[in-house]
Amino acid sequence: MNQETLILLNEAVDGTLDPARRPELERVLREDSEAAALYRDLDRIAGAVRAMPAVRVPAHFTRGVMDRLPARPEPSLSRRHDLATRLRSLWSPRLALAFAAGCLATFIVTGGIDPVSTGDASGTMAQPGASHRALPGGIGRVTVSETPDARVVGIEIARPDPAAAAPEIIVSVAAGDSILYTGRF
Amino acid sequence: MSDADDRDLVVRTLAGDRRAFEAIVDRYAGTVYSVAARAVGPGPDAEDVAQNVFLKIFEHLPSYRPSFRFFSWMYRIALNESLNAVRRKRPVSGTEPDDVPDDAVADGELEAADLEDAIGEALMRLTEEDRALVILRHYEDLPYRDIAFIMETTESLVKSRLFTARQRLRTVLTTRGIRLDA
Repeated sequence: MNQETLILLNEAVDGTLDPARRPELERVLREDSEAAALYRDLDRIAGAVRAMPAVRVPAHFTRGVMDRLPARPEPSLSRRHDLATRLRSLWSPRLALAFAAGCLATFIVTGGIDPVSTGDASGTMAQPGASHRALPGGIGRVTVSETPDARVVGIEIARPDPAAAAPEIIVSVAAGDSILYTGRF
Repeated sequence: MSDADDRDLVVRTLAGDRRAFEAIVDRYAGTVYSVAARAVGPGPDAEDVAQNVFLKIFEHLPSYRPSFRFFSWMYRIALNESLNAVRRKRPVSGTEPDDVPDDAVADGELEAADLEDAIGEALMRLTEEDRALVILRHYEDLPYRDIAFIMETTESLVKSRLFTARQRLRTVLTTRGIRLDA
């Protein structure tokens, strides 16, 4: 059985088959007995999973949860007043892009920033001679690299869970008053 | 039960209404307990995992974003907690379900006589992740997009792994002599 037929059958079992391909499915089922047997089996399996009885929840389950519930739905005390945690919770790709665009516009209008540190090659964005500035609350940092033709602005924004994912990196390249490129990594 | 109802309960919980959260627990106790029971087996362990899931949901409720269905967000927490519980229980050198040869299945792991009874046992022959995929698609009837969000993967990977998981189920059942054409 070829890969195309396999995909066709599985899409049909999944209920995601394009209705326009229904005649093709019917033809395959009519002409290919192996495919017809596979389709029948997979469809029966999907139906059997659908018909599985619900697992019985132990008595007083809800009461047990409610008895263990803290007073309010808040993070633990150590994190409650942590500004960085609160800022990270607001993170979203759209917000990050908007933030990047705002920063870039500011840099273009003001003609750059005062270097806070130079020559730091330890970070992901660091380039020799680049200037860096940390964002408030430890949510990330901005790196600006100048070349004779363009200004490259990189913004690293820490993910909500730094252990699980690398920082969001947004890079914009500007020349004069024009933004040549903005990308997210 | 619509997602709008869920969001209303979330807003009320965040405003300090504990009865709203009690309604959330009542509404989804079956779903969350099922996820836990299918991972660690029904009983006190599953109950403990399921209770911890709801405590985690409560704690993280301020970070819930309505751009995702509450059900999917909740399910992701339930699945992660359950998988973590399985990993804690499993010995370091333990056998992964996928490592079990098919002849071991033929030796009598599945006792049930017909497909409806056997399917639950056959699902336990899959990895936890593949089992979750099959249940999310065919039992919870979720679209690829929501499954991808829950499993923290891509829709195309959901689709291809689902194909493989179903075929694996078929192999397990037919090897055991369960008739699929009945």
